[in-house]
Amino acid sequence: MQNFKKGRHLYSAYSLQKRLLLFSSSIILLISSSLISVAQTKPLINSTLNGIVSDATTGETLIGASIQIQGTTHTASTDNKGKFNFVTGQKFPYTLIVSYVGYKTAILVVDGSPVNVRLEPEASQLNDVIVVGYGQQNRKTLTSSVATVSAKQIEDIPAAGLDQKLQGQASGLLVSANTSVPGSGIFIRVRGSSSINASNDPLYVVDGVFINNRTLQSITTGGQQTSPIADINPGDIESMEILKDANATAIYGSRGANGVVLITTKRGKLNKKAKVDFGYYHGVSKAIKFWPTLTGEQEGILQNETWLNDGGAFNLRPFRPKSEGGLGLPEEQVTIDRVGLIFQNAPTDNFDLSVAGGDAKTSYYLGGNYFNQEAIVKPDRFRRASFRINLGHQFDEKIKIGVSANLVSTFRNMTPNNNVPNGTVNGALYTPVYLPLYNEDGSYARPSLFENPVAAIKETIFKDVGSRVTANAFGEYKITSGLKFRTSWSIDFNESKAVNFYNSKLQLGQAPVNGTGTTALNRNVTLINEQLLTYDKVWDNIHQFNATVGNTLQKETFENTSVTGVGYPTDEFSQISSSASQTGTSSESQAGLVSFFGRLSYGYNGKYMIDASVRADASSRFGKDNRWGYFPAVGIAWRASQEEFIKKLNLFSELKFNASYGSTGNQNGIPDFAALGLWNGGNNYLNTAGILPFQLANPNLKWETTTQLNLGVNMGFFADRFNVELNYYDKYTSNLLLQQPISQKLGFATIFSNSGEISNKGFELALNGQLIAQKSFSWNARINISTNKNKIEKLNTPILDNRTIMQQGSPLYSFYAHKQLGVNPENGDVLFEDLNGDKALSDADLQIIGDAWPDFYGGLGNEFTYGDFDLNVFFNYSLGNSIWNNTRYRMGHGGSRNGVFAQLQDQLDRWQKPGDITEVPRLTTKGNNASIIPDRFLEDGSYVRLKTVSIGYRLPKKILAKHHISNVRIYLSATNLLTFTKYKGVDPEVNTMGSNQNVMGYDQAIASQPRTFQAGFNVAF
Amino acid sequence: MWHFKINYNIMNLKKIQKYTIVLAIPLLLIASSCKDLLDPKPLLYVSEDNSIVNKKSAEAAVIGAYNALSQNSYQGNTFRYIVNLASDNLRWVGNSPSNREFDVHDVFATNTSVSSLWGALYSTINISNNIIDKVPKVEDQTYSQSERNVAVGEAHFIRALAYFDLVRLWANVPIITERTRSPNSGDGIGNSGPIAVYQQISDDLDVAQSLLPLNPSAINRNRASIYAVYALKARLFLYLKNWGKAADYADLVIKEASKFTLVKPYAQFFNAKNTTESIFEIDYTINNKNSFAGNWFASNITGGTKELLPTDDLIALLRGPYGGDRKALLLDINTPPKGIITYGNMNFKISTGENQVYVLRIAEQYLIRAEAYAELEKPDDAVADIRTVRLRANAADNDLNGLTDKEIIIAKVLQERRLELAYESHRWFDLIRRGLAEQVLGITDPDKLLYPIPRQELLVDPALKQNPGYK
Repeated sequence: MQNFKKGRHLYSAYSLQKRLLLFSSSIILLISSSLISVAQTKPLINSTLNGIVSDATTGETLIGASIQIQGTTHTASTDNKGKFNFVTGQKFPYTLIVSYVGYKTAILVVDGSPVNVRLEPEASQLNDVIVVGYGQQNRKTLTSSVATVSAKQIEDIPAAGLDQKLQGQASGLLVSANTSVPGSGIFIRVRGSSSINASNDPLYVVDGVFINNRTLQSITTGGQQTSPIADINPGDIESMEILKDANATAIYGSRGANGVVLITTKRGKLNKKAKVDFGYYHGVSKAIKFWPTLTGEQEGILQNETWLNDGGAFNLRPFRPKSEGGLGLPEEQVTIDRVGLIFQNAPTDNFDLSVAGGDAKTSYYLGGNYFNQEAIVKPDRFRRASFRINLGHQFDEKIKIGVSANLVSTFRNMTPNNNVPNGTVNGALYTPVYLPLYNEDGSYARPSLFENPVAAIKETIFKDVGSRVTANAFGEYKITSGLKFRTSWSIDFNESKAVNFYNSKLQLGQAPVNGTGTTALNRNVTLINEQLLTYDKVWDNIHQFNATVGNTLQKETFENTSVTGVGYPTDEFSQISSSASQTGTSSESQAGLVSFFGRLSYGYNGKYMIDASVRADASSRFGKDNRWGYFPAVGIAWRASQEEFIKKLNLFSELKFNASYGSTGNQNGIPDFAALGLWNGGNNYLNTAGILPFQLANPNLKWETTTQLNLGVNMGFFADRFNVELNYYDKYTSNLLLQQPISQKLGFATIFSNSGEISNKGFELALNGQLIAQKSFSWNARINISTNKNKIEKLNTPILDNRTIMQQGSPLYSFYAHKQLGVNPENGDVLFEDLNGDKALSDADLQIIGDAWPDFYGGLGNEFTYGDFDLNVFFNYSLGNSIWNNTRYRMGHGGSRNGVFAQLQDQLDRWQKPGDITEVPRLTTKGNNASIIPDRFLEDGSYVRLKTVSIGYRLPKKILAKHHISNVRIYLSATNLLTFTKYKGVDPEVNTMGSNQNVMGYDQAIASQPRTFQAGFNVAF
Repeated sequence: MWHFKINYNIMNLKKIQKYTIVLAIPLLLIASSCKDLLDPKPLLYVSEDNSIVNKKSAEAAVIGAYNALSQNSYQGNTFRYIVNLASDNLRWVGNSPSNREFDVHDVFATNTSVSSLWGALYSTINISNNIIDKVPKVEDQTYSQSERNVAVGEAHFIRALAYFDLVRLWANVPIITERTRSPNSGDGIGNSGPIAVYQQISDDLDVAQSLLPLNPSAINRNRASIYAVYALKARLFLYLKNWGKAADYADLVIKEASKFTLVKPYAQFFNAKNTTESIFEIDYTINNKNSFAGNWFASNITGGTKELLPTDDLIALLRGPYGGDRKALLLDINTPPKGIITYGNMNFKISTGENQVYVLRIAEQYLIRAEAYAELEKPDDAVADIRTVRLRANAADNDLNGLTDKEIIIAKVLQERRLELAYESHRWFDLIRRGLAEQVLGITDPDKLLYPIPRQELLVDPALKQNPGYK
């Protein structure tokens, strides 16, 4: 009570504190009152019960099973021999509830001691307890839409980040790798995209802690960004839940609009002896496909043809004999394969070592990982060393504490690899093949616009060293039966130091620069504190009730320091202190979030369920009047299979209908001070500091809000051997956080505002089946099919962005160009569609020519076991999406590309003489053929890909037992083995504009996904 | 057992209360820090209200205005290459179709360079408007009236320069003279015709002339001075065909011979910075670079993009008898395997980005006066001015002997301007104001002499109208 009085003083100060105080005092009151009730209980001994708990099928005793007498709070657990005993005030007979993770809970009436309890293992995933926001629920009684991905499903995929591993694994989840560079960003969307300028990435929560997925990369590589999600070792993951509908995500309020990926890491179990797991695999990757460029001779022929087509004199054609001052005849040209020089067979190595176990009070998990993956394009690589410790300690029946900590060190070797002239792929691919690689004096030649690819690989220093600590400590106090209080304190400390140096042999560093280098230090620190009070109660075994209330406080700080040095004495010096001139910059920014949330669930007899939740969030990013956002949701479910009339049908082992509706918010991804009218510094002139207006104020700026309706049905047949889950969702996002273009006559191009609306609607179908389930042979199949219809419902003005347009009535990721109807057989000119019929081509004839959204996407997995062998075959697919092939555009538009860009084999199909029917126009550098961008570079990007095949063998237990080894699995696997597609580029899974979230399916000079073969083993002791 | 348990609980009661306190204390700590959590300070910025509040911040804002003027999307790069490409001095050999549009005089309203230049011009105008509005109201006793006059005078000059470039490129543009307070500040302000825009420029220059020190003891050639105002006025009246005033203002600058001279040799004015040639020169440092030079050379020389090359026409003239020392604007480089390529050059320093931009220089004033004299039927004075510029470059001048025909003299002035100011963004406008653009550049559609208002602007601003001939 002392505390409460102390609080009164603050009470009058701020309304926010008022809420907090009310909250904290009510918790204290609750705790105090419960203590009184505990103290008042009087002891009575009426019976003593002994027993043993074992597995009903194997007969093995179960350690740590929980035994509770119904209607009391008194529980006991089995010891390391599976035995229990307790003394109670209850008189025989009474009802005993025996539960153990992975087994069906047994409810039995006992009328004497001892008892022998045999638990049946859970048969299928529908029985699983799954993790949801701030709690756990039983999948059977779930009212919301949640997809689960188990660790086993993704263990053989050799990807650095768990986000990439999720591709095709869950319905409603669209995942596409942007590049082949390991540890770089992944395009991931849960049920479509609902934002333009705020983030579209899901929220990641590891063991209840928000994980920041803001990239710390500040030195550009030309489009791609490092992914903070690659900091999580997939080997530590037990399971992942993807929360999709509003009922599941509204408890995350302002951060839930893009779905939530909940990650549960491995933990030790009480009363379990230490289990040591060791795993290793080695893989080798190479490119699936290369670009078909012209030979030197073909280049010569085509460039001469362009010259003549443009009216050039024959005797001055570029590829004429050297004696006449030309480049030599076409047939004299060499063909230099630069592309071959940058690719490699890239190794991947992964080591995982973990120990898990526990005694009666303490459980532990220690996991270490070392992952090293090189990219197929030299010299990129990603290395991760991580260490995780998860500890739990049960002080007594009431108090439990725990700590989780993940320490990660990452190393990336990078190159400007994407869309920049000094990039490796640009230099190798775009430089015409007849041009020399080295000058006569042996120095690197740069005969076109682009960097010499060998120089880019050998001379560039570009590395990023990341250090990350994600730690969480919690205390849990069981106040009375069913009432629990939990407080949790977390830190996510993420730091990256990037060093880049271009010496004088490189394009960017050559004389008179004499070397340029930048060192950047970025740090993102998130501190989170959470309190959670939960109450669980079951009345008469038919009324199930759960209540959860809590709060979260979060503070995020972002710091950047960067120094650039120019002019180095020799190439041996690369440290900035050796440079002739140095410039530096440093900045810091903060944001805060204060939240309160609650949830009530009620279930009647496992048949009718209703959930309601609400979260209130206050963000520092918005003006005072719009600071608070409220996000409610409600969900209902009806398990028809529990009704007698359905049971009589004898058809369904499970039949559940569920529906939910609710709203979530989004504020991620916008600048910390987007609502304020600001001026910034650094606008200097002649080394004197200057200031300029930076942005206009929008005091009305507030949350982006997404409402979502979800309708679902779950069916199980033949004792749940076959399961069908079908969901329909309708998401509608309003008050879109938009960098709204305004008239530039005001001196500003945009203002952050809430304007615009976007909808996403779709179906998700997931089928699971144990097609064959015999002892020696089994076949499990799972398939998921998802659709998403995205539409910008309202946008004040269209927004043009390179080849894409965002406009009302069309989906995001729409491509915009002039439509090519064909090539005039008479003169070889492109025939463009004249939309407005004015007989002239102008911007008015631009149109939307397609979008990057697939009609259908998903995955198909098959798991076979035969004796000790297992085989996994996993496909993922994307059908109906378009790709803007800008590589082909750059290498095949505008005649001969002036000898600056190499050309692709397509160009050989060009129109040459009247009567030719082709889609490649007459080669010319003049007129519409060269200046207007036609839609022939938009392609069907549909594909079906055999993503992984793996075959494993478990060594027979009999042999292993002698050596005290419990399990050994050896396996071989292949990734990206086959791809079925009509796409002309090297890979339909591509997105060059990884750093621009409003562009998808844009292909420009990106290497294909790697095809990887790997071999590995797992040993458990 | 039970007894023990209960005792255990009682024994632990105090302990548990302790836990409760331990749990509650942090909650209270949090409560008191909540305000901090929701009101972090924007460390990188100052609020609009704290922007121009004293002498120091006012002067920083003026520096900001020069920064806006010097940015790459305006004087630093875009403006210069757009205008040079449109003329017959440079040709586009790069690959971007959108830059080719300037070369072939068919500019689309979606052209990104047009739109970024438009934006840069108006952000330059907005900072000027802020200075003009706020500086006189600043409450700072250490900030003298004469210091304030200089700041406001410079802002008026910078604003005039931006409107001058706007009216030359688009002719019909919105005139904004109030600082932007909200997204609705400019509601309803549509395009004004060229007469109104020229009036605005003239007014701004009058104010600048009245505020800037009349006889400055020293000239900072990187900032606007009274002479920069005179020089820009001379150019303004040349465009307005007010020949008398054009000659008078050019005269005001030329007669300050101790301050402004034609330096020798010709290349000296760009090989060194801030020579007496310059009236207003925007300068760059390693910390504040421009990217203009990067467009000129091939990558094997200094990491350029080789997108601009001088036309054969210009090369021939510069190497001819009337080019003289001005052939220094050309650079032959052996570019294997293609052999010798002639590049344009003004001591370009691609990698450091420190090339100066010449906004106003004395040679132009001679040629403005020459053209005005010719129009005012003073052929001898006109020829004398042309000859002065020619001889500085050691070029032949015998063709000028005995010239009296106005049209021939004017043609000589135009050719002289073309060579003397080759890469300084004058040629395109000279051809247009003299009505020669269609004939010389082979433009068939006269609407193409103006640029389109960026498409995005028309989409967001119902008050704006597109220029004729654009959709």
